[in-house]
Amino acid sequence: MEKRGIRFDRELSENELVFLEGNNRVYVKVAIIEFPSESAIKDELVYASRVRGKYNKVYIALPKSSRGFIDGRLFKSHWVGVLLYDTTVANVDNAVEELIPSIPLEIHGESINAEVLARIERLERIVDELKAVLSSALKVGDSMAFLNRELSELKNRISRIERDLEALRERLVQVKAEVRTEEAPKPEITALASAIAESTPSSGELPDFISDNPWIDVLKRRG
Amino acid sequence: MIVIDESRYKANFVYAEDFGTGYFKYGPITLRDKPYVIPSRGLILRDLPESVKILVPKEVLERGVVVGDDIPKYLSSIRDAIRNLRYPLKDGIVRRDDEDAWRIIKELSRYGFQQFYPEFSRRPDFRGFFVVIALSALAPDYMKDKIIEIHKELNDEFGGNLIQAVTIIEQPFAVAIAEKSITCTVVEAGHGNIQIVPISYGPIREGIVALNRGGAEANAITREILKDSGYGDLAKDEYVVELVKRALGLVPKNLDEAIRKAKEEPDKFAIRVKINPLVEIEFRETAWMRFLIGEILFNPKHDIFKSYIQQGRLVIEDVTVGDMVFYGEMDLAEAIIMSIKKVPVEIQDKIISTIVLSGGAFNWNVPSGLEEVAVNSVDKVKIMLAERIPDLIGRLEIRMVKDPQFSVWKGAITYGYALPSNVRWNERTKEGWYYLR
Repeated sequence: MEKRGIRFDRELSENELVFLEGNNRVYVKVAIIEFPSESAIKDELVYASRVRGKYNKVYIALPKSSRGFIDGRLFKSHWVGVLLYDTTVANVDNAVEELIPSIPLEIHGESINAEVLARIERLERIVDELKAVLSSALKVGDSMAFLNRELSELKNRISRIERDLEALRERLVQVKAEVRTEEAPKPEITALASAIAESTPSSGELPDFISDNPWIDVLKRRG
Repeated sequence: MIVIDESRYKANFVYAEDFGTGYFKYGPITLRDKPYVIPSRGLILRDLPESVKILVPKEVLERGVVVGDDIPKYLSSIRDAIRNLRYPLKDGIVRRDDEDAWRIIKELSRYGFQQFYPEFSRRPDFRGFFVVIALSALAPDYMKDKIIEIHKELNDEFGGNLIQAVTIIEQPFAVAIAEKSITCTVVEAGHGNIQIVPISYGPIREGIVALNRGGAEANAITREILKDSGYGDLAKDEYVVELVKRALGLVPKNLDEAIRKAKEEPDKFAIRVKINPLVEIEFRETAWMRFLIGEILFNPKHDIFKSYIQQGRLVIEDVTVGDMVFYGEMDLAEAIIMSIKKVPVEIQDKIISTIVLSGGAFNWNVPSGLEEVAVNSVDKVKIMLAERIPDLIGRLEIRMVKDPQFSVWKGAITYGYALPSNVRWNERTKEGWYYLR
């Protein structure tokens, strides 16, 4: 790219790059399409169209195997260019081909000089710093509320365990009496019972939306 | 008799499936707060070129349908992808004779189990999942029977070890459970219809009222507004209509008042919507119509809607599905009151005082500066009910569901955990555990 007078500026995300070409800002979306199809390419075009107004030129870089699926008229009508890349080529200079050039667009406010942009960047940095200060202040409040919630949750759990324990004691007495009088249990019930006896919850806890839900008692009474 | 601590077993092995019209949410209780999610759609592998067939695994080819992450792999090879990429649920319901749709439902379910079964089956204590299936409150009995049948077949495919028992729960009931409301009314507004389900220690089926409108009618009126504003060409594109609806739509406190203000001060209500970098559309003279988009969901009885209907530009009518009437023009407050009137008198007061709104069609914002005339869904329902029953003012608790995406799945998991295993399936009520072994 540098041979063509294009300099790398920044990486917006893993697949989105910005280059500088003279005064032009050039956006390149690298599309990784395993099985090229017209619809997949159109999706990429829709995605790239969203940023068309922000950059002087916008390109979509498609794998070389997409060549047959590209509707040139559609790309030209959206003023979006197409680059074809080939990862199998050894020589890097030949790895990218400009199939459809992107028509440069004058961005509104482009005449705003670099000084204004620099000021905006400075202000953005200040805003970020303020956000960091604010979030650390909020975290202190959050952790207090969190501790309070945890404490009341623990209290609830202890009282539930006490209740369950009491119920289990009573059941144990009943079972002892019943086992003495009843015949041996059916094999499949024994299997399920032993499985249940072996089971140990992976987390040992129930999700919060269950643990303090009044529906649990209501539904259990249906048994 | 053996005393079994089933809570301990179910704390590991309850599994829920929420069949939403747009997304299928699934997974075991051990996922805690977030289920796995895939779009509720499948690709029927029909008319595959021979060259592609060789590359497709044999078992996939035999089933002839793929879902989830597998869809993109095959999409470009299908000749008619639009026809073969299907959403099986329409307004939460699968048609009895729609074989493709049922194949997709089965594949969605299988796709979920395949992700979890290998890990769970290695545990020595695993004896099959207790599976809870969440369906629309309007799902007919044949749909419940068929979905149980599908789970039986899947259990057989997994060697009979996958599922201990299945049960079915109505989605609004699951919402009430997730919301921890024992007595309330759940109003679920989807794309095609609105369901009002009174709950008191369980859903009261006699009280269910359904309206034959939802997000789709808001789209229909948006389409007409686009035409009236001179953008008829864009009105054909469903994506544009959805985008414009979300940007434009407002729910009025009072429709006549809101229209009067918007006509007096068009600049205040004017809005520009950017469709793409090259197309931006403006609504200024027709800005007052923004209120029609929100109002149609709550009350389509206004003369303006009637005029659209008379011109044949809008269809709002009653329909009957099975023994259920879906009312077209009934306003939401009237529908809620009708639902409440069908429940026993002694609990009516409690049921109407807590109303839980759920579903994407209730998702409306109030732009700053327009608070005087526009409201959100909670306030709109409050205003409408208070107009009809002034005594209720101050006692009404109306709220949006806290976790719109996953509340049904959470409610279904809670239901599966709590419903005792000795509650056997009842053919008449379609409740209880249906044991597969």
